[in-house]
Amino acid sequence: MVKYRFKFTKEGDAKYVSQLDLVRLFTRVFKRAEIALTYSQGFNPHPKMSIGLPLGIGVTSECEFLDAELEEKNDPMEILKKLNASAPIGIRFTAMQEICEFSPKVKDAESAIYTVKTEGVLPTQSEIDEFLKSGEINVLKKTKSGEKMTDISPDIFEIEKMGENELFMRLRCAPNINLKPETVVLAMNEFIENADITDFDVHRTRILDRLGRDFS
Amino acid sequence: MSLNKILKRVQKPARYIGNEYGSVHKNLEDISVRFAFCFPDTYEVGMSHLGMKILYHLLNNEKDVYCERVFAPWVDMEEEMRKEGLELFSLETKTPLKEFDMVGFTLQYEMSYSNILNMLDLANITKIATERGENEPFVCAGGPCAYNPEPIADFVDFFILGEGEEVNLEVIDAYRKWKGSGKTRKEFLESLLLIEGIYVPQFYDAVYNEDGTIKAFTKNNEKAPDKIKKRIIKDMDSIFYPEEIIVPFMEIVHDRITLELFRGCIRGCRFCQAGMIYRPVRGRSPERLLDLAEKLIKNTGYEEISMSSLSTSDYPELKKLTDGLLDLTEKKKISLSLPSLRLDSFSMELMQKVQKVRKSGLTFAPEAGTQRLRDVINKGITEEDLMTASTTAFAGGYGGVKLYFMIGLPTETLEDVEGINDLARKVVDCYYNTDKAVRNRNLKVTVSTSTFVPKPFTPFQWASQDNIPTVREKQAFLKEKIRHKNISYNWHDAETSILEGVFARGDRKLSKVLLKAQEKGVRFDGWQEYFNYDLWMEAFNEAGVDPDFYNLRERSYDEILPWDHIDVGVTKKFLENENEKAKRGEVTPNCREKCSNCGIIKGFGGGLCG
Repeated sequence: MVKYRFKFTKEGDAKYVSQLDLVRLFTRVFKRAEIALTYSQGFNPHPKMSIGLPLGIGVTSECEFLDAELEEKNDPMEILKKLNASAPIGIRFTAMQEICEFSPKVKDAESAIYTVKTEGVLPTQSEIDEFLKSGEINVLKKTKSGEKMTDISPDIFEIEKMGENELFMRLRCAPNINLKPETVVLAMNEFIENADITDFDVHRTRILDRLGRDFS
Repeated sequence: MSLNKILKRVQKPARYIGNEYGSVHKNLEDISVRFAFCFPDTYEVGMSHLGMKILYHLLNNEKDVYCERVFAPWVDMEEEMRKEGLELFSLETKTPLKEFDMVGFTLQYEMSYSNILNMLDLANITKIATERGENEPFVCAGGPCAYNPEPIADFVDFFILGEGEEVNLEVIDAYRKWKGSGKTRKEFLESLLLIEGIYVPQFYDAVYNEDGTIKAFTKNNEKAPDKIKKRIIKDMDSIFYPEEIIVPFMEIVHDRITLELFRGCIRGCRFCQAGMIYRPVRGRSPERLLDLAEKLIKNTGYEEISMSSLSTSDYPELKKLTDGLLDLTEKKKISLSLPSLRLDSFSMELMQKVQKVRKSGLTFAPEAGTQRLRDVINKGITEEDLMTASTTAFAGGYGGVKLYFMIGLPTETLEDVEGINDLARKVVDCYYNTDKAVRNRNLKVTVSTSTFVPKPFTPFQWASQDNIPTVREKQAFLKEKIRHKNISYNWHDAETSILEGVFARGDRKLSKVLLKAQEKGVRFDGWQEYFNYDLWMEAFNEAGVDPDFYNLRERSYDEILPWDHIDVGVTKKFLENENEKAKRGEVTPNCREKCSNCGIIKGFGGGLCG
């Protein structure tokens, strides 16, 4: 038995596949690829696998990760080849490595990097900087018990304008707090006078732990 | 693209994206016939349907044919589409429906008819077949409800009756010949008349008596056949069955591999339309099924495989098949499921085999509460069968048992309804009589009653249906009787069954009602939260059609029924005899015990009825 961390992408319409559906999807991809996963014991055995950190529906990514326990060790190139031949359009495995004691742990995840592309109007960099320095940024966030005003400013690490219609964002992405780029965009539209960021697409490029290490 | 914007705003966007593993992609330049396979319900429901899986892959096996899928968009999606002016499109290439050569609907239940009209509306395809332009697609329909095609006859260019594996390819072939020939729509439809199983409603006229019954049903095109005979597949082993199927991104209703063991049913329950229209019984060999199972497991990665048929435990070589399947599935952690077990052939061995991998709940369908009524409907099982089966189940550790019954069966009295409660309580007793050491710690008996709806081509096709107050009275009576901590009671709402009954035995006059109802916004009638009875009644009123005419009267044997021009193989005389036997409470043996001359062998050649 050996534990691997797989890096995968979620592109095109596959961005509409929910995280919950992904677990079932991967079980079937491994079955089709005839790569044996380890199963839990008991009445309803489940494959031992877990998907890294949440990603909103509608967001594409090139840095998702999946931890899975395989029955046996094999040539990574061979495994990746088989998995990709069995994966649906939009899901692609790009790397894998054995999990060891030095591998970043999900509980140490800290931030994620996104690019946001819009057909709308972006504010200038100085307007963005002012917005970030203005202190509390209170937005209405959905919680289990309803809606609650939350200050999201501690969860924004960086926002930078990259050309006319693209933003770079580094936001908190940890097991307990995950700030969605959509939430930030809506706050920018609300608090920055010249911002009209409409019809935007979000793409996740990296997930980092507290030491700034990539997860995969 | 505006679709991307819309998808971010709707629930479950994965319903509309296509591109699932196993979906078919083709280069449009190589295609001469584009077929849109439409399921008039949600993606999750439609994708669970075996017929669609078969026909999708069958058609796509043809090099120059591209079959794509279309489902009814959920109400939130429909609202967004109408707002953005986006027409109904196919999943594979997102092509508007009206650009297809053929648009085919599958008719699985009457309550989906309003969705068909709504889908045509969303696609901007002319609803009335005879008013469609030369450049519009041909709209066709098939499936079990096509055996009484009349309520939707005005909207459909042609119906395909019976099993589709052969006839669909013949239709495609006729289309290839017609396309580009410069001939008219009507000429294409006439060319279809040479194909057995094709019904073109516009070549027939119905004339009515003053009381609304049919005076005459005659053809207006001499090339049209007097009777349209359904198609069947004779050799189940050699006929096409998909070896790879689409594996959806999202969870669907029946999210598993379906192995179709056989078609038809030997039982002859008198209420059951499937048991009559799918005759004769024809099975696949265990060898063929095991080969298919192996390939489907490999190609889909599914974790469950289901042995499907009308009465799976009647499969003659069930032991051989389950043993073989378990060899394939056990080590791969794949579970095996049996959808419908008959009480009388229920065996400990089979149940234990299946539960080796996963234990799910058990469902039994006694259908009626007393032996008298079970004899009337020819459900050849006894109370003893149910007790034996329940005892076996409880001894095997099952804690949940579901019992299915019908309310409103012909000749039913309150005594029969009370019998449902008696049976449920006896099942509970079985549990408490089972050794504590082996029985499950919890017991839950669920009683469900549906409302009986008389269907065409059954011995009860002449019967009157219970009206709403009667159904409610019986439900309330049963609810009152069943007061037990271990028993829960579910029932179907009475209004839905009324509408189902109207369309099941309806005629062409109902097309006006459907048009009105769709304009008023009815859709998803099969979904409780969207079924709007009052809106339907308004539509009936405005169209000047009385729903009670279809439901609340007993028809005489000499009345011309709207589906009399359709030949399903079972003769009207046989159905009449069965109805008379029902009145006398006489049972008919199953087809393996003794042939009762239903007519199917005569009409469809000997050597059948496996």
